[in-house]
Amino acid sequence: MVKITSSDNQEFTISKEIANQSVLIKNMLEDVGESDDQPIPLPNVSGAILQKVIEYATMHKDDPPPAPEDETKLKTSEDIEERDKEFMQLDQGTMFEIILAANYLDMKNLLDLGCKTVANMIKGKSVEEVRKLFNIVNDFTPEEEEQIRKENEWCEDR
Amino acid sequence: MGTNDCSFSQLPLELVIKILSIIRPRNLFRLRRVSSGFKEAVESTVALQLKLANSGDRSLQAPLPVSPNSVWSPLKPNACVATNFSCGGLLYPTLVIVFRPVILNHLEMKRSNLFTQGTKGYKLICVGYERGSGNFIFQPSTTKKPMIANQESPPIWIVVHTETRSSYMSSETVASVSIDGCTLPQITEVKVSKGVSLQVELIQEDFELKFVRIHPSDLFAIREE
Repeated sequence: MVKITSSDNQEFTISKEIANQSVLIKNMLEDVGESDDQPIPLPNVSGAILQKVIEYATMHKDDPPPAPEDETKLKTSEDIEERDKEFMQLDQGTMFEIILAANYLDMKNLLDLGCKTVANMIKGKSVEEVRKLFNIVNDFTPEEEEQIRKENEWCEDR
Repeated sequence: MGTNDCSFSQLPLELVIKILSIIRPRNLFRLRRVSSGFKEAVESTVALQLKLANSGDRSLQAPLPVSPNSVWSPLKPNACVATNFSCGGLLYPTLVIVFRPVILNHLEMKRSNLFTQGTKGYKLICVGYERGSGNFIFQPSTTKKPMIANQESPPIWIVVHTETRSSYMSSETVASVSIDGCTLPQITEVKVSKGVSLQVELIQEDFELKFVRIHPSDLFAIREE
């Protein structure tokens, strides 16, 4: 078993197969050796988020290891498993924290899931709806906005 | 559950790019209007996609998946079609190709709902059109038909097939080709005709053309000349 601690000093004990889903933890374990009983500190992840990450890793513990990143492969957001869709039914703050945690912990599948989920939220939305969705302030001057609108004419719906 | 008010704006650019790279190019480009941060992220995403497409891996150089209401007819089975669109030559060398005025009489453009009819001049036949992406493939025509564009038209994005240097991409039809202002040695008899500059972007190391962006205003400059 492997012990990990969150940024708020919550300690979790997880199996090695779950721990190994994080490349970061896997590398740390290899560095410190199996015999070390000290918990692995994860200062960038809170206990609440770490709990969710462990939940995801437990759910996927029997999955085959992720394929190496193929940057040239066309990405799609439509291949999300039903159980993963349910897992990602979270408030935005938690969802973005999970994405950040997955990036920090180097968990490719979880990071991909988070990114696809956010991409799906953006798809089909108007510019105004995207601003509203993510609480983004339009910081363009009217002149800048007009310029971009002109540049965008070719791709706007007609 | 979030321990803080983590928001989209707090994601590092690297992750935003990862998210945006999943969105179809045409929809992605529209998102530049959201905010200056979004604009930067979208343009970085496009630049990265172009870099990948230009890395020599042919897997990206096939037409992208076509939406159900799209029409797509590639120029040839091995047509050089990379990603869907280009973007301002951001991190990439800008290739400027200058057509000889004579070739403009032999090019015809049609079948674009982005443009209005009624002017003379530049001619291309659109042999491939992907509605979802704004991707057009054109071929020169031997017949003269009215140009379909006006001063207010947005840039035309054209994918040029140059695996074998198509007919209008030769020293006879192209006055000059330059990258970032440096004229390529392959094209001889460089003679830049005023106003006949067509922006071409995304090229490979062997100067194979992938995209051509033509500003209708340039075309009007041709006629005025």
